Amino acid sequence: MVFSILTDNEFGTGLTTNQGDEPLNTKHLLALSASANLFLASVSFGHSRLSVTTAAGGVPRLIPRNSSDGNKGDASSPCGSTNATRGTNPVVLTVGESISADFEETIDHVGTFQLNFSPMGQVNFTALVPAQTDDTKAIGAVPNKGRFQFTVPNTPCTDCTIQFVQDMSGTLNYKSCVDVIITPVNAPPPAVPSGFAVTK
Amino acid sequence: MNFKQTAAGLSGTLLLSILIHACQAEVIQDSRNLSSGGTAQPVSQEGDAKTTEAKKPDVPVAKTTPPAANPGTPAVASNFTMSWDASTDPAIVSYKVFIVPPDRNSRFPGKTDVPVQIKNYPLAALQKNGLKYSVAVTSDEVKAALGATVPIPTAYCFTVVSVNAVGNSAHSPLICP
Repeated sequence: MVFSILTDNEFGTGLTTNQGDEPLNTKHLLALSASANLFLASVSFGHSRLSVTTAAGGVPRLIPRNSSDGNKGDASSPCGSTNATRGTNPVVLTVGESISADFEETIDHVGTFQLNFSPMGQVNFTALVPAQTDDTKAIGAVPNKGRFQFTVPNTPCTDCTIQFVQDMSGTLNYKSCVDVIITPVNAPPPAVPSGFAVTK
Repeated sequence: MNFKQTAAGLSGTLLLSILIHACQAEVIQDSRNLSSGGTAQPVSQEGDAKTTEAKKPDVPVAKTTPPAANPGTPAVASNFTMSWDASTDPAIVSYKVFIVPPDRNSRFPGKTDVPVQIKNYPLAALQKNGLKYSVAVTSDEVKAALGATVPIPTAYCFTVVSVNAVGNSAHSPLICP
């Protein structure tokens, strides 16, 4: 993970690059090691994710199966590398329902935030809402936050997926997926249980 | 041993530490505080489009003494009794109980991560006391749900969903006993 981050264009250097193509000497290694250690803690997580906590401290409507925080994926990994396949607890949405989905950027990076939809499986994603461009004026100001609002598509499906992507214009982007069932209005999911209490 | 050898050795040690760091599982920080004794409190404000690093989310205020937060020591094993209102909806076939782990990202103390299902309880497996369903969840079941890769939290939060032939309901409010 660290090496993939070290070789990101944003940091502009890799372990094999060295000025003048000279072999890495002790001074270079010491400097590289020290500087790498200094920012390791800040790059252990990146870069953005669908929020998994609501403003009220609860569980949001669109809960992803995996968090995109540090979850990279290329074109062959539409949901990133962690929990890459569909889970057992899809979110049930009703056709025409209005949904808000918050996201937050934990490490600032130029790019766009996208919310895409696949009506079947994890292929052929299309934009569910217009992409939001990262505010480059806010470099260093994390977590940046944003919100997508959309209306649930009118075609019911039982194996559909909503994909969140932080597109950084590279081959690897941060991704996470929400497993979704879209149900007709006359076949809704059950009501939320009330009176939940826990003692120990 | 001359200076060059010492420097080379030190450099090697540092590089090795980087490799070890890179291969480590990301550790849950114990700076969180989710043992509020009730429904979790707000940790961020809606409409707060841009915040700064210095503007940390508020941490819920504990109503009771929180569990000891010793990073190397999991919480003492305990069992949990959960209850909720027995719905009159005849379409409900089961209820699923989830644990909501603390956020893995140490930048967000007090926040939570993706819920993890502990168990699916068919109605027949639930005890009904009057108008309430109840179930006992053991610490072993919690540990099994979290798996080996997720450290056992020192504070626990739970939700429940109801299930019918279509699928799950939305999650109940988060309860952190």
